[in-house]
Amino acid sequence: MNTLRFIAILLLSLALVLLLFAWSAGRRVDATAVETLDVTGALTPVHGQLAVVYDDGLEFQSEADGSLSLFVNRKDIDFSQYAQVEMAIKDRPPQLEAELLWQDVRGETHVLPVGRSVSGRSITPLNPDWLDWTEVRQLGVRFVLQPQIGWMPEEPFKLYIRHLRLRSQHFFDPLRRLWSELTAFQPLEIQSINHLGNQSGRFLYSPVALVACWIALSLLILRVFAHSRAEMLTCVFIGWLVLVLFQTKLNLARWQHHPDAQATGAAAGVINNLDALALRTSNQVKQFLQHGQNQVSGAVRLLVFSSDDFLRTRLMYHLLPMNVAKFDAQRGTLVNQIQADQLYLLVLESGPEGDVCLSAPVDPAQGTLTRVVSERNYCLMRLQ
Amino acid sequence: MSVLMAVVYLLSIYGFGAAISRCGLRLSGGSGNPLLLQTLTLNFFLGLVGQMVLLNLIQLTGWPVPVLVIQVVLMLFAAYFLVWLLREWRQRTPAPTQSGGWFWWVLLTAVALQWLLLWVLNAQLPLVAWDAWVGWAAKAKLWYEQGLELATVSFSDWIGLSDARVNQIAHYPDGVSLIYYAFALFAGWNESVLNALWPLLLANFTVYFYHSMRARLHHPLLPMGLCFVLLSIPFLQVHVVMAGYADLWMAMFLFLAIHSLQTFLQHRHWRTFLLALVFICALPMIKLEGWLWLCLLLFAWTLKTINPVNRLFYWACVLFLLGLWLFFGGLEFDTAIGPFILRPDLISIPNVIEFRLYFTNAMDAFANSLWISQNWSLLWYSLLAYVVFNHIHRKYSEAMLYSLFLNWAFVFILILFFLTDAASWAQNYTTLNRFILHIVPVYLFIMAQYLDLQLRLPSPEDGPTKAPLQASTGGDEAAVQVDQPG
Repeated sequence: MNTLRFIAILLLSLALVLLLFAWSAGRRVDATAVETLDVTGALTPVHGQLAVVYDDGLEFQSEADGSLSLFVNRKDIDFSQYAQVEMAIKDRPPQLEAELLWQDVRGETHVLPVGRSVSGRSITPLNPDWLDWTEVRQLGVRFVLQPQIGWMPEEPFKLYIRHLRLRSQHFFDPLRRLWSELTAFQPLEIQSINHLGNQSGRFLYSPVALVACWIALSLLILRVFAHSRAEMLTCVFIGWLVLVLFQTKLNLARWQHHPDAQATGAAAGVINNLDALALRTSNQVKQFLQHGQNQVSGAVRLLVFSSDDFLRTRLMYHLLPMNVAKFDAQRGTLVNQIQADQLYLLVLESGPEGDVCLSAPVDPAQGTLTRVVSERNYCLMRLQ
Repeated sequence: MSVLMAVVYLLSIYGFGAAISRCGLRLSGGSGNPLLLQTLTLNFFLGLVGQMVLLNLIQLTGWPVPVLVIQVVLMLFAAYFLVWLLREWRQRTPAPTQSGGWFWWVLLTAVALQWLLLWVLNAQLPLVAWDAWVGWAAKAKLWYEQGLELATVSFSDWIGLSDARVNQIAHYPDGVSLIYYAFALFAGWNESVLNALWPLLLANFTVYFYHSMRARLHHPLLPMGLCFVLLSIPFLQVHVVMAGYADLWMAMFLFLAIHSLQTFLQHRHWRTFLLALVFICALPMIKLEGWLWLCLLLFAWTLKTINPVNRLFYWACVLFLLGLWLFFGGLEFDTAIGPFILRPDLISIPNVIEFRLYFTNAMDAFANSLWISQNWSLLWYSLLAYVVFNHIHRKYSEAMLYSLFLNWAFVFILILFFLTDAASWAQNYTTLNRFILHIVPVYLFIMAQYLDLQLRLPSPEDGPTKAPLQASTGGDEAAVQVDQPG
């Protein structure tokens, strides 16, 4: 009886706390606020480039590679107030590749990290869990033309971006989402290698369904076979064993097939392309610096830059034990404080981006840059 | 040759531990643990601590100890281990007979297969754990190539120092990196071989965990079943397969520290006190979070020692002090190492933490990490059961230290991830699960004790002849011996 009373008090306390939180959260953010933004634009492909026929007040930005970006210019929207955004593109021709973008508060553009794959004629819905919404300034879409045989390139087409649906953050949202996710069948999602140590994927099937099956199975076995507590315990462990056998199959699949493009090939037992590039570059740089010297002098300092964080840190690891450090724009001003004779800047990019040296974010006022090695993916410069 | 030398190094860990426990027994004048397998695993962890301390001392004092000397010393320990093992093998006590029936063997097979699978997967991977090649292994690689005395510093310090190297976790303790370094002295810089330390760590811990539960629990199936549950947790599996994170070490040493302390409190033997002291001191040598767990452990110990009659007075004092703190706007004073700030809006302890205090709703990340994602299997669905058991068995003295520690750990986690800047670490999924991993063995251990107590409660069918449960009388005499160093 005491236990029942305790559970009742516990549940009542929980309800009270949740109500208090809901009340305070509800006062901060309007729980019912949902914004829907319907915008319409039309694009025309002209000689392999995209051109705007009319823009209906939207901001289009033409990129050097022929792609076209569109941002919803709503400065009155404070994205930090929202938990979820759904965006849909209707009537998109399959020849037009599209990806969803967000622009951070510093004005830098990123591709949304999580979203459904872009296929068919729409992208919907979108729920990027991994985004810090306080960082978001604008949302947008980038289009890249992929001409195919049989498509009339001069034919204009209309394109709608519809349902920029912003749902406000509410205290009960996570609980509601928890319930909907627990009761829904989930695809197995696998995060990038950076996050594998922090998250280990999702259930393939609903955990609630699993637990329910387990309890039902255990009860059935208990009813028929179990005559003692030892047998009950055996039944419970059998349930867990079955669950683990099922999970083990998934785990094996996780390690053997890793679809994420970023730095995940290594998880399948093969050093992936990025790592191979970092390793190859580090060996070439080491050889170059050792050329003419019996060993790399301790006075040599290397600053490594890459727009890809994985590539940069992995390169640094391969370059060890050389005197190597990370270079970024914020710390660039510190470089001129280094009183070393041999200071180099190493720039590494993963794609064939043309002149890699040009992507180095160095203020020329800091000193002279002399190019000493320039290859397809990397460039080594002396800083003086 | 590389693998052979790796084996020599691994034996040296056991040898180091055996030597330490021999010294401990000489000091305290006791006899060893008759269970050879548990002694072995305990020696492994003692050996790790011993090597960390030894190498740390060499670093701190700046003695120019040649690598060859370190290698020879460790090889001597490996040789000592073989001698010790031979002697102990002759004097070994047969393990207690298993009464778990056929299903105990099924579970044992499942545990062995799980471990084997993890080991195979671990061996197939290169060093891919982000923390390893950004921090732990990177430090060790530097020392391996250029000597143990090479300093690792932050970027801002590096600007003014030409003979130091940058490391992103230069401010973190060097424990795991030092073990990497010592291992590499024998095995060479072979990442696949170095990674084998993680499955070995898990194997040793599982054996120790099993014997610890076996000594405390009445039901024979529970210890093996809970070992199986431990090994089947997906997030733990990730940390074994993707070797290089220090969080698994933290979890294991945290359990060892709490368990040794509880054994000491239960039996009051000097040798168990020394053992507890070693493992408690090892916590800050692994990660910065070790300081936090150390403080919480001491806090839980203090709470346990307070007479329950005075506990109400104690809580009144705590609330009174908290009220004063809020009323006067907190504390703030300068120390030799920097400003010490404990204000309601900012907590700053120089060189350790600095957090602004404000509420952030990180519920989404919590729910996702604990119950939706496949991180913990169904482990945290038992949280409600834990709360209920915790209340029912609140007077069970053998579990009190674990429960006090866990309850305060949960409170701390909630404060950290809901009320400080660290909420962003929960929301971007970089820290929350790893932080929770630290307390998982303790949680499983206490749940095992609660389940055991539930199973021992007399049911109505048992009738009045069944012996009543003696919950707080302590374990039997065999349990006294099992938790002691060999």
